[in-house]
Amino acid sequence: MSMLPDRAARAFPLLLLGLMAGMAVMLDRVTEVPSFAPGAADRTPDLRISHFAAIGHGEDGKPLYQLKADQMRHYPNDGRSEFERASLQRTLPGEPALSVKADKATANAGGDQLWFEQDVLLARAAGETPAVQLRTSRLQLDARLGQASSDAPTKLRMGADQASSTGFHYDHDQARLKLSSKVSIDYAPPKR
Amino acid sequence: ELADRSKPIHIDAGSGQRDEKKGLSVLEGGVKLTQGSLSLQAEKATLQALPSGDQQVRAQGRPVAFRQKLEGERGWLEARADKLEYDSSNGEVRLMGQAWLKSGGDEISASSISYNTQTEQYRAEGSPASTPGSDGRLRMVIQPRVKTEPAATAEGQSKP
Repeated sequence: MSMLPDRAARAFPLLLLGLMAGMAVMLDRVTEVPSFAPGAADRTPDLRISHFAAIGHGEDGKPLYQLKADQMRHYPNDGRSEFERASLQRTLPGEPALSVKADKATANAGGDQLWFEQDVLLARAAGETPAVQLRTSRLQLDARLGQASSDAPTKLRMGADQASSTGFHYDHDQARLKLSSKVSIDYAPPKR
Repeated sequence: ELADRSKPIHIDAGSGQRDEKKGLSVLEGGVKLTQGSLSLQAEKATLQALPSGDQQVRAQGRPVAFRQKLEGERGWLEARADKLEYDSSNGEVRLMGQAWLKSGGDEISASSISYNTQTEQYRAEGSPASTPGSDGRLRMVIQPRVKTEPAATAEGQSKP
């Protein structure tokens, strides 16, 4: 849980890393939108898409990534994209499905920095390790730096183990996870 | 209690950090670990999880406090030390540095004490007088077991 339940601690980074890589690829393409209204005011989108859905397919034609949102807005001044009730699903062959849902999501111009807000739920189906779920109200992913963080209360559940804290920071290169404060961990009874 | 071993482990801490490469977790800012009737309070603790789901805990504090209910109706065991190691897989507790342990009426202070939560047996070790802060002596107070007199019958004869 260990600080994080050990099994969770190993799965948690892979969960985030997989998500980051996938989204960066997807959003980078999706957000390559020409500016229709150069010089538009900061808060004025130059593109608005309702019932937004983007699907990335593998060579076998099967979907690898699906990004859906009730609405997508693109802002020319800084190239960012905002999504309402966003849902990203990653379904790589031979891997448990991985998804993130949030009421709001924002991607920077390059799509390698992502902010999720309000009812953020990160989930990975069971596979070799039990299913993992992470709930928080704010989550930032930085695919360039390979980092994920939140300053909000976060709950992580993996199988019967669970951990919670207020704020966390994960650095993939250093392979180090910090739980900022109010750490609480529950391990299921050991197997006897 | 023996049943503690099969209970969930709960940990509260001020902050925590996990180093994937070393496979170690470090908890700081006041750590409290509970497992059934067993409780451990320290300033800092490192944890190494075992595949079985058990934990090897190294705690330090001023002092580390340990408490667990004894099997049956014999009250509680309490212990303190500068450092404490606990392995939930075999129930072994090692108290190091100004170690003190009280079990029922018995009381021991020594430089280190080992206690097994499953056998409820403990072993104390003094240390050379040269060890700073220690006079090398081990102190033990063992309460005499009160012999219970057989109950007398109305006629004044004691029951066999």
